[in-house]
Amino acid sequence: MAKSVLVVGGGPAGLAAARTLGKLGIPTILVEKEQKLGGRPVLEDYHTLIPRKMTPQQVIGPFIEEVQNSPNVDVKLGVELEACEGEAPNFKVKLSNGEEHEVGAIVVATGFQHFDAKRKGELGYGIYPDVITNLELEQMFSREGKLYRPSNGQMPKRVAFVFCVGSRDRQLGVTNVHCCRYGCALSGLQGSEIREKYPDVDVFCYYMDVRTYGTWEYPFYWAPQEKYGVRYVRGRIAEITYSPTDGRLRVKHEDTIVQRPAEIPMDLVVLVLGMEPSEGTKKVAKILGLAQDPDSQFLLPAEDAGSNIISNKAGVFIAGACKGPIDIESSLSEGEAAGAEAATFIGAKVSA
Amino acid sequence: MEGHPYGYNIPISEKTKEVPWEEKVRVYEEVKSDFRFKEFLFGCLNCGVCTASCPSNRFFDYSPREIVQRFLEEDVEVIYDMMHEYIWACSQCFTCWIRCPFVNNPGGLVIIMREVAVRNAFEATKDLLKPYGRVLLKVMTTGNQLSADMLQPDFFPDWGPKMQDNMENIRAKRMAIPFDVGKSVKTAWEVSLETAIEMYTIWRETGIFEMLEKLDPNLYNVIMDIVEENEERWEELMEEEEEE
Repeated sequence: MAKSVLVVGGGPAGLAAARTLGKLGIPTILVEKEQKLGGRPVLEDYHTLIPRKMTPQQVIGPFIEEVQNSPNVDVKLGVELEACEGEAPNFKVKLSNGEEHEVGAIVVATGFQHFDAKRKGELGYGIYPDVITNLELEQMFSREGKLYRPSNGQMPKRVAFVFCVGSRDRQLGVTNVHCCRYGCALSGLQGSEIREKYPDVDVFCYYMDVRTYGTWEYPFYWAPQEKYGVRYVRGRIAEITYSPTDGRLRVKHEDTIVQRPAEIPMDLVVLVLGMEPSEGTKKVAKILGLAQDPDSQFLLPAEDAGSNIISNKAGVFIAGACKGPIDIESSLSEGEAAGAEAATFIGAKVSA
Repeated sequence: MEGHPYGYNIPISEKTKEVPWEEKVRVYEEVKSDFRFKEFLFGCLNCGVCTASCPSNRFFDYSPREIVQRFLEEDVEVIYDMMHEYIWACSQCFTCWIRCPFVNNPGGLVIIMREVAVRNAFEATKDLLKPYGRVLLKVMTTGNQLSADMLQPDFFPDWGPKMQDNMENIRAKRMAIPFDVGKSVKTAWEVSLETAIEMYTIWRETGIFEMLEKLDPNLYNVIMDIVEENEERWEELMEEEEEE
């Protein structure tokens, strides 16, 4: 029986799984297709993570360090899973660098990709430079440390957040009908950051409903409004246009609470992107024969398992955003759980 | 307070109030029983994308979101009242439908409501159709009421200032189009006898003639004169063909 574990994906969930396995003394192979560990938050320079308001370095940095320093974890960068033969606990896996290994269990943590905002043509992304994504706003903060309008480099007077872009939307077909889970909270945080640093900038959040679920309600819904003066307007943005007379954008919506149609001038519009399964997630699902949601293509847990990290295939555990939108701290927890499950699955004896 | 506490702010008309409740329920059920109804109405989050996208909403007291909501609330009286004036402000562009994140079709619901209103010969539909007598006459007898040379830029200021330039030498420009696009009233209204007969068959089988008879008996008589004349010509032609 093979006594090692393969972890596919070096983002938060994969790192957490590999770290737990390493600490338990189990030989672990971690494959990551990019040249760097950390996943989206690190690769794409997120600025501040919800809900703890820490940087990716603070949250994910220690995981990367421990995994890289673990004598039990073999990190393979620029490498993907290509094929898998056999059943648990004797999987024969083939990697893109030509290596073949025998592993007793597999943790899949292949993550998500951002929605391509160009698919919602009426929102003008890619047409008007001042329509940006919330990812680009994060990078404005983290890479340039300042807020500006891409069209002229000047400070915006009015900023709008457009919720649910590529989420909860049947117009895109069946693939993007789910909620992104993080968007409301991140927008509350980004809006607060803008208001704190630039008190003269007006920030508006256009929403259908605000899903700052659980304990996120206060820090990411009430605090932005009451402490930082972010304004919430109920109405989904129908269309974004540009007015050459004043060089500003127009966001068009119905204020569904006071019931009036409106077209409001804005200097910067931030699209809050939904999440889709990554190409890697779809690829690994095929290689390993994992169940996928027929609509979104996210991975599905086994039908008879109460825990959502148990896949439909014995010996394969799924963690993080490959199963649907999730926040980073939950991704880490799931990775840790999947690592521990994989360890018990191969019957590893953990020394005292 | 008159009207409703929110949304549909128009007071329910006295006429609607006088109509017995059972009659309003009957009309509501007629709308709901249309085979398209369940393809046009799903859940609604009141996000307002439909109303924000609606061109009629900019100019009239009309909101597609209101249509969807009233059906989801099964507000029988408001729906009955809407069918007399409110829904006729819809321009049937279906932007509401192509934008709705939950693929509701308010414009489609309006189609059904209008058809039911016409089938039931609501007084309001008679008034609304009055200015369209000539249009109906042409559409029902020839299948087409509009031709390119009927369009004059002065009629449509909303087409913008460029339209005047485009209209220069318009006859020559139209003649340059290498196929027949109904360039003038004459060609646009020309229809082969066979096509006309097929069209009349459709009107008859789908109950359109019946509908018209209820709505505007005078117009119905004028149209039927033309229809019957054409049908007689067609029958003669058929008989001649058989003899040969």
